[in-house]
Amino acid sequence: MTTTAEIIEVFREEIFADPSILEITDKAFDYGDVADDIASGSEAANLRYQQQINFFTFTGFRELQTGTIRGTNTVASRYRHTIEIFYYLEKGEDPGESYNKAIAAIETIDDLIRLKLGKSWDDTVDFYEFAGIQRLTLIDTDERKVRRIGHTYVGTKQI
Amino acid sequence: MKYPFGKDFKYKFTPLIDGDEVSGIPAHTAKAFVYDQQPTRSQVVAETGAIANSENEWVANAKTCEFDFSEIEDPDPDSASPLMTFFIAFKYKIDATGDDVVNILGLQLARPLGTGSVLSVGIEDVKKQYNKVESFFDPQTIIDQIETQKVLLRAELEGKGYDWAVIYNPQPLVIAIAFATLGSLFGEDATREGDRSDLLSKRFDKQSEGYLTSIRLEYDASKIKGTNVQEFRPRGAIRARR
Repeated sequence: MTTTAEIIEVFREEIFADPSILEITDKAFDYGDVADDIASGSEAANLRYQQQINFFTFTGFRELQTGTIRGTNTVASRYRHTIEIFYYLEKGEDPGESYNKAIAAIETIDDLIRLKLGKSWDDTVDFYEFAGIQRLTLIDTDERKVRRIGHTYVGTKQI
Repeated sequence: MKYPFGKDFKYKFTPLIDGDEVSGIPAHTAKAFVYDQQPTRSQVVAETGAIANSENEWVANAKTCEFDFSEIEDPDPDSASPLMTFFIAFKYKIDATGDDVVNILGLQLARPLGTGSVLSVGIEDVKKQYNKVESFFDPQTIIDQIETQKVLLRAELEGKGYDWAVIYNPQPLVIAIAFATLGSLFGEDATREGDRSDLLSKRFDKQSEGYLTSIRLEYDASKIKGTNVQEFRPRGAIRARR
């Protein structure tokens, strides 16, 4: 039975440790509220890479789905593993540059998932599909204007 | 007394017993050794481990003996610290038939700063006061701000009549400049009054101000450095002497 922790570990090792991602930023957090309510200089410093707010978050959750197989009395169950990946980049002095960099970053993630994790996310699921995009928005984080963009992926595992 | 790196020096040694000079020292060959780490008594007796040594004939009944040392090389010439503590040990006799007496003393070796000396403040000094500073500002920005703060402080001191060159040991200003640098960096980073950068900036400015008010610097208005050293506060009331 695949757990969320196992899938997160796969993403951490294969995607967020990849040199092409480390070139973008070495800040990747496996919890989602890292940008909320920055209370200290340490938390603020933690979001920054090369003196700019620049980080990924990758979180997941698992749902159990149960249904009958058509034409039979058999019930089948499967897990749906949802992985949400967000990229945050400070708007900075060149808004156009940060806008395009944010898009490029999330597309790099997308390419890596396909190329390195493959259909089965390193054998943790049976298959995955791209489930949605959160378009580029501007949010306030630590008194700064920050671009945020996200992708959602769903992996399915029969049990 | 301090001795400079890179220059031959004489050390005048006077043994004391309970604060009194020792009399009746016999004629003999006395030895002195310089160590970069504190030696043990047995090391001195065995005459091992020294980075420099000297010997001289102790004149009978003389209360002191001078030892000539060749220059000692500065092990860290880029260091911002003006002084390093080494150790000097003496092996001599106070009685003709007695054992050797060993004394081990601290030896302050100084890096000459010279007139018009540049106060050395670096990123590490700023990081000591706020170790996350490089998360917010790139190194060149920090270095540029350090230079700006040094210029500002120098101008302020000159306005009070103290040329940088006459400050005998400007080292205590390092911390004040580090705080002023942080105050200015975060002040420029603030987007509105009361945000985190603004609060940090005010805190660091206050610390710099407080430090400058509390420290005393030594200045030397004479042409011969070290002969007329007097104290002053870089901030706060100045006492004028007629």
